[in-house]
Amino acid sequence: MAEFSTNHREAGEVNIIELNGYLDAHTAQNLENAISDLITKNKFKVVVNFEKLKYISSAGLGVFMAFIETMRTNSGDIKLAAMQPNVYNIFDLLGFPLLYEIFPTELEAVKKFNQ
Amino acid sequence: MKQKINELMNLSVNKMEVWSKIVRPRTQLFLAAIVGLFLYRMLFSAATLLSSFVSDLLILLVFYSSILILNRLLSNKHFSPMTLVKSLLFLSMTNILLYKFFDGFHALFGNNQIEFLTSNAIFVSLITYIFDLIIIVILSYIFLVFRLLFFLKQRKNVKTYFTALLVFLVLASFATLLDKYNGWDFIKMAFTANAVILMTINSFKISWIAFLSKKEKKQLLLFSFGLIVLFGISISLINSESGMAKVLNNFSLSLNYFSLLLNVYGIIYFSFLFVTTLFHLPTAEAFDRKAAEVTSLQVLSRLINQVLDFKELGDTITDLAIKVCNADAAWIILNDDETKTPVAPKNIGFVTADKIQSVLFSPKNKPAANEISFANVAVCNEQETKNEHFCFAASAPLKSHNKINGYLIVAKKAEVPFDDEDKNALETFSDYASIAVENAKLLKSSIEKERLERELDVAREMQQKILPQSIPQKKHLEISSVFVPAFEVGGDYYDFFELPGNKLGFVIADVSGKGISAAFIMAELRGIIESLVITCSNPKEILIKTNSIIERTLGKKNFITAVFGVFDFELEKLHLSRAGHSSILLLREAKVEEILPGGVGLGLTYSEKFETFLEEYSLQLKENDIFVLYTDGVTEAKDENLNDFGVLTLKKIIEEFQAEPVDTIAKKIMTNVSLFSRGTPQHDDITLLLFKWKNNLEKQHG
Repeated sequence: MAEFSTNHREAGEVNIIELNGYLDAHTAQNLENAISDLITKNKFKVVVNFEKLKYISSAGLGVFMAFIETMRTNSGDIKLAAMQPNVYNIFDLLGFPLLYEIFPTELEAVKKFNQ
Repeated sequence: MKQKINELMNLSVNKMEVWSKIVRPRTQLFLAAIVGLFLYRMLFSAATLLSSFVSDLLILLVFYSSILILNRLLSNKHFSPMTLVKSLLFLSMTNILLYKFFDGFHALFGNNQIEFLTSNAIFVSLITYIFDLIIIVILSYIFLVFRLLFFLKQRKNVKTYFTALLVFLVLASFATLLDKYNGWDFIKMAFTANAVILMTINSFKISWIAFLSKKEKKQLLLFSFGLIVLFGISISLINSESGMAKVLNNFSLSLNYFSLLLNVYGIIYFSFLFVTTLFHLPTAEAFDRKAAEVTSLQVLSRLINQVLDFKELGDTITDLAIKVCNADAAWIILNDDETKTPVAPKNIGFVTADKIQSVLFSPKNKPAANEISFANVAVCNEQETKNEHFCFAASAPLKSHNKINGYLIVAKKAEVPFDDEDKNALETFSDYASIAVENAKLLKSSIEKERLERELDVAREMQQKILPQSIPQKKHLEISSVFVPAFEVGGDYYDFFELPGNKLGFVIADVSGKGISAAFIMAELRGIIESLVITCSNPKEILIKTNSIIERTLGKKNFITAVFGVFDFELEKLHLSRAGHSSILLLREAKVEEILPGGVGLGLTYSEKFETFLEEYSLQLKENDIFVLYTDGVTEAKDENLNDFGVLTLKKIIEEFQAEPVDTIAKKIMTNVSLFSRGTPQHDDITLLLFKWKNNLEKQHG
């Protein structure tokens, strides 16, 4: 089975989740746990770093949809950053860039929070 | 019902057969012997050796036939040793009571013996005779019980000993006649001596007491003492000068002697039993424990094949573990469970269990990982109430295929550590338990798998029914569709709609998620669109309305990508809107271009943003325009190296076969996709819709 892992970092009050590998129906739970973990700790400012993500399926996309509302109503957000072109294409086709903030680099995403 | 009646009939027929074949002849023999004996005694009352001998022979016949009948009646029942001993108690008591009762009877009539002899001779002798018969039956019953006791738990063929005893008993009894009439008492003595020796030998055959529980052994001690006393009383009654003894002696000397010998056998037998049981008593507990262990293992090994319910299995395991290891509490922890919550805890709370676990599995307490480990846990739960205060605990790994699935933990309150016996028991037991746990797991996963497969069958069937059964035939539009479901049902959907004003609507959609939930959303989507197209032919409007209606059905994590399009045959136009779906490919003038109007997927947002971002796209149709719509099952088909089939390949194929009919193009695409993804499973539905505009065909012909 394709591997997937997440890594959590903090940059000030912004929480960064790094994705690694293949995000599909089987591994989506992993990411879900990571994000709901942040919610229980009342951390609503999240940047997801896609740099090492090789593939995302519709189940993977669903994870962001599941949490974005919670983050935004608590004056936070999920910002997406550093996607590989093939991953960005999937987001793009679906219209994610119109609803989510997607940045070329993690730094820009964090900066946006700090503005 | 009928069957039951038939069974009953059969049973009764069977019983009848047994009755007519076995019991009836025996009863007839018994009755004949009784009547014969009675008549004989009426006719030949002279007390000579010969007449007494013949009379005794007839008594023997009565005795024998009584044994035959009783044996037949008891043969279908299974007796435990304790019931046999109890019945012996009952019988010997009845025997004594009969003696006493008849004594009273005799005393009553004995005083007026002359009168009673003259007036009621036949009546009294009949009553006496009946008493004698009852004594014979009781004696035969006692004898039979002795026989059953003797053969209990005997593996070797020991029949000879018992038969020999019987022979000597009978011989000794008959020898009383020789003693009386000829004064040859030595013959009687010799046979009696032999009989007593055999009694003693036979009294050693009491291995069955080893299999009794401690409680039963205690009971047996009491019972055998009681029986010794009862048999003693019987002997004293037989030897006394009481009325009954006299009458019996008068009736048959041999029978009385036989009765005496049987009582002697009883005393010898139960004396042996008493002493042996007494010696067995100290080890009874150990034996009980071993027996409990064996039965527990038996129960568990049966469970291995039975249990469907994991909880039930856990309960049984912990229940039995407590018994086997002399523990007070037991529970299981599974390695799958990160929180290590006790499963099926018996006599222990979660908190205490947790404390004991932390001691058992602390790094100090090696080697908990791979073998049985023990720990003194008295300190860690000192403050607990007496109910929850445990002193020692042991854990055994539940291993299967060299993998540890979890641990079985037992704890006890007594301040005596678990001994080697407990350890061995726990070891054996945990081996069995781990097999059972593993089996239950396998069973669960195979049931789960089967359930999933059945669910998928339903989902596939739903999908088949939702998709159009035929494609519309249009003069100016060649239409082709391909649908290949994935094993897991991907949620692809397409359909065509005849719209008012000479228009054809079509939709292609991909529901996120798989299986029955995706099929369910598909069905909902179809319903929504079908009802919307009745009043509306605007693609954008239809998608906007669909988005707001589907909100109720779609979960937070789910979305749908869709393209809704309308071919207008009057104006020769195509209108379409795209909600997050893959691009529409258009082949025009030998080149494929991607049409990608803006729009986010259905379910991504329910705000006005959806409407804002959704674009309308219109195109004037040209001769030989080819439109190809697809779901990502096509472009994301993977080869062995996980490369995508991709849009570019798709475009090339369309360009290459643009001159062919759309059916051929569709076939070419599918052949290429399946060649590309050869060796990897298809993990998403594949849907292709192809249209070719052929409006000028008619004009050319015309």
